[in-house]
Amino acid sequence: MTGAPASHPRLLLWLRLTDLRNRLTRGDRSWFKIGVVTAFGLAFWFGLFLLFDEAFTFLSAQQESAYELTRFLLAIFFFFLGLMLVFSNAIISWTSLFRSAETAFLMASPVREEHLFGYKFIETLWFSSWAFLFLGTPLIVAFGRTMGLGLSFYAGSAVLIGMFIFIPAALGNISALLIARYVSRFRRRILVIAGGGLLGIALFLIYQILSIRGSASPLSPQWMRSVLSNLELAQSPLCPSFWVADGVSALALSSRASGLSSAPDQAMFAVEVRSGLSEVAAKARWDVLLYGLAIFANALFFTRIGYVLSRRWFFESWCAAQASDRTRRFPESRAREAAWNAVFVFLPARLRILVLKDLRSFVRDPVQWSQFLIFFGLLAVYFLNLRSFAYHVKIGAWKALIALLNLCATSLTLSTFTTRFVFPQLSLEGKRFWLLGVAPTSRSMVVAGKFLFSFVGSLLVSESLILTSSAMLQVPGPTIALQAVATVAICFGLSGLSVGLGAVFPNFREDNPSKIVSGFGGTLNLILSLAFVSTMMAITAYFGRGMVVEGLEAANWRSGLAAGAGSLLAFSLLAGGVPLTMGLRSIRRLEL
Amino acid sequence: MISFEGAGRRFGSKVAVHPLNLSVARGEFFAFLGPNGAGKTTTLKLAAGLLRPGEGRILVGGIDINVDPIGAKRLLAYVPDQPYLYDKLSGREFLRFVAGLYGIDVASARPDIERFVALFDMADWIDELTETYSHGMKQRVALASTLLHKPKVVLLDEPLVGLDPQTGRLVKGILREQASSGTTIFMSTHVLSVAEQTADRIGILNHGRLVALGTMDELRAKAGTPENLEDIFFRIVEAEEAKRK
Repeated sequence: MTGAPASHPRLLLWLRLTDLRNRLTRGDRSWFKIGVVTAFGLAFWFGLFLLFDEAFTFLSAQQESAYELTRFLLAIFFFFLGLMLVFSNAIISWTSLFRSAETAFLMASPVREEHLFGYKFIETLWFSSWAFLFLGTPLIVAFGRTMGLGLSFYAGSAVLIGMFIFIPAALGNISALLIARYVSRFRRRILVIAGGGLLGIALFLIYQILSIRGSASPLSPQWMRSVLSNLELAQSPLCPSFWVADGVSALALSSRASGLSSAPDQAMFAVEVRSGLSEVAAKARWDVLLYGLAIFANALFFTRIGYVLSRRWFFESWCAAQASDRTRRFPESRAREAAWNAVFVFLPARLRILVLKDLRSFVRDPVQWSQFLIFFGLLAVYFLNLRSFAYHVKIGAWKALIALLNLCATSLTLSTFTTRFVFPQLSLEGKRFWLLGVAPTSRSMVVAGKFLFSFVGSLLVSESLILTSSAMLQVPGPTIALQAVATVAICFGLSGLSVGLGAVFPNFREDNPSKIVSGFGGTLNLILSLAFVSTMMAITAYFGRGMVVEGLEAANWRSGLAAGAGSLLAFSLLAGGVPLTMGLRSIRRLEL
Repeated sequence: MISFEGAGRRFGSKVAVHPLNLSVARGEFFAFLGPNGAGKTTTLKLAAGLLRPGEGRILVGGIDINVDPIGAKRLLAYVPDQPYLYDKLSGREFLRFVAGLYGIDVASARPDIERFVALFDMADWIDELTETYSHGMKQRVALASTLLHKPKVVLLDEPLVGLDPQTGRLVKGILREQASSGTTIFMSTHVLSVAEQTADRIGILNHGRLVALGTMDELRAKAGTPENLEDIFFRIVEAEEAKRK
């Protein structure tokens, strides 16, 4: 610090900058982790770029409907990302404003509440919007590259998107403020009703989107009409995400119109947009200005509303959130206890106690089960609607490909869960090792309990999903069998990896699971899990393809299935068993 | 210097603190005792302006903390039982930051920071990131940070928990010195011997109600025993429990 801070906002800015500088230059830095995260980040960005590039190239080939299709795609993209931004901003600002130790610390100092709210607003904006920018940039670059657009397009898009993210951020912050003020006191009842309502609306919307019956072939006028009518809200002129989407489209038009010099290009363009070149250019420029001003005005308006509300209500909301009754009672129920014991009767008594303890912790931690429910619930809704896309009437190779992609989606989702929730389990037990470490039970039993909990839990959910996917796709029996075996093997491997590496790289100093996961062991676990899933997909694809190509009539499909199942199980035993064994050895030797 | 005028607080149907009438004078060292869940932390949070009283008011230096919270907070310092430090700031940077929060510029704060670094014996590690500190080191930095703006009232929630004997003695000495120089110390503690040795007056809270208040001599008279604070505390609390039943 070189000079005296003139005000609290400047002081808080100094705090963030010093924190950032120290993060970059001091403390423990894992170059391995930085390298891996950067490499994966870049790979992900380029993967998205290629995907968008392919999509825009395809769309631009649809001569007459190219412009409309592009507008539609952009509207959908910004609508759903905008919606996600509102939710993520609301959740992050709730935690940041009402549950953070830093807020309590600053609340006891003479910092004005509106300054504190503004400081937290910027923090929330950054935390929730960086992913939006990360997903948005490959789309804009791919769009610009495909259309051959100039620098003005990229600069204009950056300005539009940069202003837009303030709207969902302000809405999310205002929602958190209102929820804390009005909902905290009746939290449970209102949250249950609101949560149920929201889930119902979300499921209805997803169903609406997926229920475009498969009779129409993709990109036909009938298909387009069905899709557009189901997504009218995304194209409503009152929706801010539509302003940014149409603003980007208008920027592209303006940039293209001014860049066309040859007569054939101009004629082609006129066909595409169904209008004259000069008219289009003038209208596009006007649209960009209009949408830009609308976004700017609304961003200012909602941010100002948040500021004014915080000045009036932040302290009230904060007090209400602190005073809310968070005590929950779990009176003993012998019948429930007996039922749980009956479910796990096959386990030795001591192991059963450990598994039941983990199960109770999971069920009573909304952070865990809600994420589990949302992600696997969305997969379930999608799988149940597979016939809406008429995939089940496609040729065998196509169905096998869809089934494989579904297995891949389920496995990748599972790998994020095992990394986020299973890997830190043993580290979190660190504080309880005064009990578990000296109890008359072997430490291996603790590891075995974690593994069984993860394996059985993930197997029940994943296998149900994969069997649903197979049934909806009407894939042949051998493919179902191969997928079912692959699911067992993947659940075993991912559980073994996460529990094993969690025991090899425990972090007993940390209470926060996200911080445990972001360490070396967690990063390694994520990489190995992704590599493991990729290998399992390659094995399933290789043997699955063999069965599809050769046909079920081929004499050797049984041996193909057996070889496939054997390879999957063998690789899984290796990938899950080795870290699990290492983990067991490590935990036995561990000195606490 | 700090007075509770019928200030109480409920959480839903549960009364955390019954209307409390208490005044602590300038330079007084006041210790607040009570079993777990008695309402000590809630009382301190009410005094620090972290919770709004459901009834009554709290005056800090004559300023109602709910009417002019910023004005009252300028006179206050509060150290919770688990003080919050920024992991990625060094102890010295944290002290500079806290000085800034109270409007003290860096040049003016520097001599005081150096004085407290020496006083709390932190010179060897004050430039390391706070994430590497032990509980005792964090507590020393937190206490030093609260004294930088020369508060009129210092609120402390269990300041001696987890401290080694040397640090405990150091903290007690500094707090006693602060009280002698006119700062009001309002401290909650479970360590009865500390309250007995350092406090001018002691208040005992039970189920959110102030059940005893006075100097050691006054408490002895109330309990009807010439014993130490531990015996007095148990007598008073047990008598109150018997009355409740």
